[in-house]
Amino acid sequence: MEKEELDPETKYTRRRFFVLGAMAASGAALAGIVGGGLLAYFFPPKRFRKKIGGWQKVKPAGECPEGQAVASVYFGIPILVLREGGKVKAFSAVCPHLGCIVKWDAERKNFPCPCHDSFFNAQGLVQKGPARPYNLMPFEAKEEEGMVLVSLPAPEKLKAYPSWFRFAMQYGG
Amino acid sequence: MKEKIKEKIELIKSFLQTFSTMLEMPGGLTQLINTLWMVGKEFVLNWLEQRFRLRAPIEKILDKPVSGFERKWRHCFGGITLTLIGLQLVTGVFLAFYYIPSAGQAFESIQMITDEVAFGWLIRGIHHWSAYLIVVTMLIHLLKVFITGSYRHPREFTWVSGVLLLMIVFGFLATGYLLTWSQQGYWASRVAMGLAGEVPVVGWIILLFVQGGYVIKQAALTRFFVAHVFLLPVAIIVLLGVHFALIRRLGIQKPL
Repeated sequence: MEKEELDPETKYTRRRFFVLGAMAASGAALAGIVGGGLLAYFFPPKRFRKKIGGWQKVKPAGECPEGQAVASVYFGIPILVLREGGKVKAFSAVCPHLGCIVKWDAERKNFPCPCHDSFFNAQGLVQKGPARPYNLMPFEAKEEEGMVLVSLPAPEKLKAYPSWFRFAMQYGG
Repeated sequence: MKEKIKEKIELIKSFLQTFSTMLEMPGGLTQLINTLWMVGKEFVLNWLEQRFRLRAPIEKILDKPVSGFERKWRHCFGGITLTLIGLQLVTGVFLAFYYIPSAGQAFESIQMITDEVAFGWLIRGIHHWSAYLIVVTMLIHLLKVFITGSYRHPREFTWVSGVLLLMIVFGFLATGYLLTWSQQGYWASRVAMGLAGEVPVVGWIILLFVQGGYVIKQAALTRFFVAHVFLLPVAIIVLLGVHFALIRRLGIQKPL
């Protein structure tokens, strides 16, 4: 067999180049497999990323008096069910400013936020305070067989909100 | 055989005789204790030296000369920070004996530590307050190094490791705050993670990896607990090692 010639510039033979290349390639492949597996391990499984939604019974209709907002929970999201002129409306009680829970002021007919003095009117629209420009998020609400049912609105309605608020509404809590 | 035993008995007798005559002299007791202490200490130290050969390295470490300019109060804040970090490790282990990292039980278990466990209020109080003190002493230490320009060549990497230590301490604070699972800690974490979630494009990935979901729930508590109790302590111990090794090799900067 003829002796392989050394390239005087690089001192690399074809054989050596091939061996080094093969080692580098297999090393990279191994690192990719192990690294990918590790990333996958630390990525939370589907159950932790499940979206919420759909109609949910939240309160017996009899417990929602006229002119009052009653607190309830929809998939871990605190909500307020308000009855005005006989019709029920529902809002998320989470203030879109920094996540405090707003309450209903029956005298002034608005939702004050106790943390930073934001106010929302009976339609959930922001009147003043640092929550501007975000309104309270309205839920769809209806009455059926003596129960108040509530559903998450269409995803487009969530688009305007900051991401932490969107995530809280889409994934519950 | 018998003669040897007799010899030993004689020896012990003579020892006891010496002791008793020493005791009869004025101030004999203190002298006796002193002698026994000296002989015993030498015996124990020799025993250790023969088996571990640690005398030379320990003497080298302890007898390192400290020049005058190093003996200034402004150089003490790094040491105070180290002491407080040590205190945190110890009290942290103590707290881990009772703390339950579960969304349903975390707050209750902390209440139990504070109200029911003997000296629990003290351990938790030390852990709580020295966490805040570390920030203060660390920032004073950082300011001193910054103002005196001690970060300059060749000590760049002492500075870099110090800044990384600051980041790790912030990591401890951010994760420890959620572990109480109180309203304050929970909402503070919600706000902080909300900021992380606002990062363009990768925000949601950061959330999923750091808190195990889009919203802070049990998965987030578990991950913060793991970071606070396993990952960050290992990181801080390794980096402290680097920091002090560099200080030992390069020394403290001479004043200008």
